Amino acid sequence: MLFYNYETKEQKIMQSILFSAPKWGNDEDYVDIIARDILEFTLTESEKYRTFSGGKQLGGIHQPHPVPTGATLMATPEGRNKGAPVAVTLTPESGTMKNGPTAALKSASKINNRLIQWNFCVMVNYFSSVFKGNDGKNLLKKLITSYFSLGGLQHQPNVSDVELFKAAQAEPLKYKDLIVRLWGVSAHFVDLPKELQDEMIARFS
Amino acid sequence: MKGCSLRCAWCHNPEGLSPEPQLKFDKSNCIRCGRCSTPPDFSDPERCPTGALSVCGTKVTAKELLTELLRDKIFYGDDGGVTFSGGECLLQSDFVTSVMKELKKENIGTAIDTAGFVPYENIEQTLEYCDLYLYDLKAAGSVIHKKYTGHNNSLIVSNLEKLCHTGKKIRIRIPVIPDVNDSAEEMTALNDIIRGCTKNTDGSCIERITLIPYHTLGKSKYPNLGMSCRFNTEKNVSPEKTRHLSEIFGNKALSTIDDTVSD
Repeated sequence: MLFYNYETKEQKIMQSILFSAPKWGNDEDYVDIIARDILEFTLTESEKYRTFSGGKQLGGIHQPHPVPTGATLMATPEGRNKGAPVAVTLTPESGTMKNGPTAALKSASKINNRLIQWNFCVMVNYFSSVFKGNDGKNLLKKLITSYFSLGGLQHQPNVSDVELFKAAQAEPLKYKDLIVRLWGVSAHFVDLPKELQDEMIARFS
Repeated sequence: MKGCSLRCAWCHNPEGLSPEPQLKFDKSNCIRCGRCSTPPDFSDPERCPTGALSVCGTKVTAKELLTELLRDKIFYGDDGGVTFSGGECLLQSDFVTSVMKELKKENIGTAIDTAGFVPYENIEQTLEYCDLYLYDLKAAGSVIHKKYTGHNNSLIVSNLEKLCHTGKKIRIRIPVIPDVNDSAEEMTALNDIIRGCTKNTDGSCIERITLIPYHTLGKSKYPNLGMSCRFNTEKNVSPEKTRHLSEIFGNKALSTIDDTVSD
């Protein structure tokens, strides 16, 4: 936890550098193994203890509500601003998912699922056109079954539409992970130039 | 694959035109940190903390690309796989073929997205390892074709004809461009070209024909690359019109309006 927010020019540069460091959810072993080691260690340790009445502990990742929890937290060293939402469970932090949903799911599948009994969710936002195409239903089915066959347990696909676009345009920082797909191109909506965003909003309104 | 042999006026992927790496600058991500030089050079993107300045296009070896592609193997499924696109990916057919060869060893489906303006040998080379061709046709009239893409379409048509006779699966894709080819005459002529190419075959090689209406999404990319777009129209092609034009092509036709585009 930091006692200052990323406000001055130097701090903003530092924030950008910190935020572009390797992050969980991109299928990069360098960071994923750190996450796996910490999680698996904690889960294994907690199972060694019994509850007050003699019962077994359940392993899981505490799932705070990202917004109110984030609102109470100071800036964090990975580059998150003071008050910004926090990442929950196995979902990549907002704005850090660079290699797309398949990579996010692959990172999550690196954790030994036998150690976890609850809260194992990977949440990804998709624009509705991803699944509206000719083979949309199949695509989603394949994505989920592939993830399960890798050992994954829970995936929450959020499929969104034009209204969300408008919201993302107004407050881009909140929607850094929104992925859109058009004519074979996938991109983060908020990274698209304004004109392009306008065009997409117009096209799907 | 970066680099293209055509210069379609309406191109929505200008970053695919030049075969060379290009500097790209996205003003909206710039925090004016002052770490780059003026004017920026190719070493600057490394120093850019926000990614506003980036290099578009990197050289990779076939092995590096293959490693990257295999990472998602589990998600490809039985009918999915890898599509090579561009630019014109067949300008680098040696490279594409060597990667596809390895993909086939892994039982991964392969497709090539091409505009067909390459020597036929480049296509022929890929036949053994490619399952599906996404083949673009831009316009039927030679004058129009030359005016808007820089070349006439005779090579493209003759390549398509040869490809049809190999029995490979083909999906034709036609951009519908306002005031260029968005007329019943043009579309009928394109349909005749397709029919001509499949003559003496049972025609089953053409899986589908997709009409893709013009859009302006690529326009904003030009200035970021220091390029300018020569096609300026405020016009759109309506969904009704696209649907109507697609009927010319019969039961294999599909317009990307209804199901918005998974191609």
